[in-house]
Parts: sequence; C-alpha cells; structure tokens
Amino acid sequence: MLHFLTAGHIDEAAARRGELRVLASLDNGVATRLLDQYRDRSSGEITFAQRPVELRDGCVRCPWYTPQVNLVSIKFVLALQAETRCVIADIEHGRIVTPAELAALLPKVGDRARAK
Amino acid sequence: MDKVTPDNNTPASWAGNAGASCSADSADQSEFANAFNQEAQKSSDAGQLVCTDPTAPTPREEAMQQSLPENERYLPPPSPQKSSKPATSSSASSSQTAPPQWELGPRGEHIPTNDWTGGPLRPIQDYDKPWAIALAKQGDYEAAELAQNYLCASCHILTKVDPHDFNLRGYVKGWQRNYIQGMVEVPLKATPIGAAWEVGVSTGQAITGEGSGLHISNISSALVDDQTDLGKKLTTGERLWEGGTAAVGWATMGLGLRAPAPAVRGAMIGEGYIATRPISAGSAARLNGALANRMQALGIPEENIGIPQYGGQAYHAGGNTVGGNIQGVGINVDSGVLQPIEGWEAWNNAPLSVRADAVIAHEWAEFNGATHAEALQLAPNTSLPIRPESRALLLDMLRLYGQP
Repeated sequence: MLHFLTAGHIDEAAARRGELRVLASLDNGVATRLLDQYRDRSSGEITFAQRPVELRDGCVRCPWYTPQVNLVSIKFVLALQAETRCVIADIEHGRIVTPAELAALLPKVGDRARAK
Repeated sequence: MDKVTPDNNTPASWAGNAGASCSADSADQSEFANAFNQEAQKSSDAGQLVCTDPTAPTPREEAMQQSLPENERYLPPPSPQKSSKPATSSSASSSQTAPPQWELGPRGEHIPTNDWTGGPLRPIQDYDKPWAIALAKQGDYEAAELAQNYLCASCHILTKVDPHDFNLRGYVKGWQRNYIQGMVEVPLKATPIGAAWEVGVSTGQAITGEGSGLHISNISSALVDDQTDLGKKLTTGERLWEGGTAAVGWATMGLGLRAPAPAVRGAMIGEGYIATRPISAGSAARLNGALANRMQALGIPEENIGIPQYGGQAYHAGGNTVGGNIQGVGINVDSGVLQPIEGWEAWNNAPLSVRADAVIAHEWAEFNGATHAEALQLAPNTSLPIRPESRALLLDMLRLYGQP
C-alpha cells in the first residue's frame, strides 16, 4: 500500500522476487552530493518532503507513495540514475521501475502553469 | 345557558349523533337552528360560539354515499326489523343493502371493490385532470382514477400498461407493500438479530409444517393485505423452502462461530483496536490467522496468501509498507497496518478490520497487474466482498492521494 524506491546496483531478477541483492555499492560521492542537493534543510536527518530516506548496503531507499506521492524522491532518483545508471526497484512489490515511468509522474510544465 | 337540540326536520338516523350539546352565552335558539340548517359553522354575534352541526354528514359519510349507485344514495336507513333479517332474503332488502362499488384509497382514489359492476367510479365531471377525463370517457375507470390521483405515476405506468387492463387495487397495494418491504422488512432482515430470527422461524415452520405469522415479511402482509401466514398449512414445496432456508442459515452461523476467536485486543480484526507499539509474537500469530481467514473469505486463493520472501504468511511482522504483493506469487499485510499514517484522518480513525480489507483490496489490484496509481482507482470498486467502510476508506485514499 505504501511504496518505496530502492536505487542501486542490484540484481533485477532478485528484485522481482522481492529480494534485495546488492551487486555493487553506489558511488558514494555522487549519492552524497545528490542527497545534499534534494534533502530537506529543516531536518537533521535525511528526509525528502519530511519523509525519511534510508542509506543501507550501498543503496538508497526513498519514500515514493506514503501514501502521498513524493515528487522530491522521484527527482532525486531520476538524477541518481542518470549519473550512475543504477537500477530502480520497488523491492517490496517486486517491480523494476523505469526512469520513464517515474518521469511520467512528474507534473508537466503545462500542468504547473495551469495549476497556477 | 341555552341547550340546543336538532330541529324537527333532522333525519332520524342523524338525530342520534346530536347528543352533544352546544352552548352559547346569549344567542337565541332560532339563530342556532338556522346554523344547523345551513350545515355551517358560525359564530354568534354576541358570543364566541363555534359549533359543528352534528347532523351534517362527515366527509367520510359523504364519500360512502358516493360509492353507492346513484339510485341507492341517501336512502333512509333500514328499520331495525329489516336489518335484522338475513341479507339473502328478498330482492327489496337486497337492493337496500347493495354493496359499495368502491372504497376510498390512501390518496383519495376510488378503488373498485369485489362487487364493482364495472361502472364509473365517480361522476365524470368530478375529474379535473384532462387525461383522467379522457380515460373515464373511454370507459377506463381504474386508469382514470390513477390519472386523477397519481400525477407522475400515471405517465410512467399507463404508457407501459394498456389502460384498459390496468388494475388499480394491485397498483395501490403494490406500492404500499414495496414501501414497507424497503423501509422496514429488508433493513430488519439485514441485521444479525433479524437474520437469526428468520432462520429460527423457518426452522420452526419447516418442522411443524404450519405458518407461524412470525416471519418479518408478515409485516407488509398484515398492514397491506390484512392477513398473515399464521395457521397456514404449508405445501410440501413451501416446507422444503423453509427447511432449505433454515439449513443455509444455520450453516452460515456455524461457519461464523468457527472463525478464530480474538484473544488479544490490540491486534484482532473485528474488534477494531489498533496497536501503537510492537505486538508480541503470540499476538502476531493470532493476527496472521485472522488475516489468512479474512483473505480466504474474500476469495484470495490460498496459494496467493503470503509472499515467500517475507515469511510466506498473510501477516508480515517486519514490514513497513502496510501491505505488499509480488505478481504471480502472493499478497500480504504487514505491521504497518497497525500504525497511523500522518495526515490521513480516515485511516487513523478506521478500525483494524476496515484497514485490513482496504489493504487486501489494494494489494490484490496490484497483484493483478495494476500500478499503484491504477490500484487507487480500481480498489474502491473491487469485486472482492470487502466491507463498505473499507470501500469508503479506499475512496478517501483516492480523493486525497490520487493526484500528485
């Protein structure tokens, strides 16, 4: 019911079974830089839109639907994937998530203009 | 204070109604007599008298007179000797005791009695609706009564039923019965007590082969048709039907009683208590049993209950996604179901049983290929027989979180 995005160099087949198997750690410098760029400034912990982000086993696990869609997480993961070519997965639901799927969830420029 | 009595022209049959006395402070008796003759209420010049003429026919008496054939209206009442004779005697007495042609319906319509001879149910000039007049002129008197007294219904019915074949009594009884069934009987039967009552009555009637008059459906029969099934000898088919109803009822109740009994208040579906701290292993095991039973009851195949990577059981004590699924493998509910969700008031106020059904429906939609966004749309209308409150919870989720 709640969804999290796990980004890292992980085994896709295992991810489809709901299993996290890390093949290699993310580039720490890239991950740290991007986390620092997207994290909430008001919190001592690393959070995206007030939802905690987990760093473990060389992967990053971000809130996706909790149940509000977390647009900051989506932007962060897309940026991370663009730089590291990592895999994005919803481990608990056994799905590989493509960058295109995520990008489609971001409001379009026209939508934002209409919303204003 | 003067006592007022009816004048000498008052028909004898009505004089008996004039026992009540009317009083005034200073009006003379001639004024009161005049008031009686005009059959009106008047105030005297000097006093505050308001007096209804007791000799005047009431609207109901007038309506009863109108229900008789024209040549039989306003006849003097039969003498005591004649009225004591049997109705089957002479033709003269039978003409005086001719049965009424119609009776007054709940909306003022004239419903034909069993003795109706097929004539007009009221003078045509009494109709003021054009369609009613037209129907009466073509001899469709029951349809004319409908058009006169049921404005909207007349169009809906008489455009589908030949006005010549329309049965007014059947229609009037039908809508009365439907109202009682919809407003009283069905809601009563839908309650646990009402359902158990029906099972008990069916059992008794199947055993005795005799109607008890205790079925809830007797409410409409008694009020509309003035009859119940009390004392009715059941046919073999009816008795078998009662027996079948009883058997299904008892079996359903038996299955309900066999469900695992909740032992820990904080974790059991059905009691609605939500744990806000980790629950014990024993409680988790009981919650797992309850969730597995619930998934089975909702129609989730046994092989799809649980995800091997997460313990393979209906309840995953270690998760924090509330529920999970792996397509082609299974679904589960995890410990997040016991926790509040920040900003979602409906979820936080929902009992565990309602939450669990909602999670199962959502995960089942994703299990069958829907994305999360699609599951938000699909789950409120799931074909799984989840609780109505859970559908409402899923609708609230769609409303709150359906758009980025």
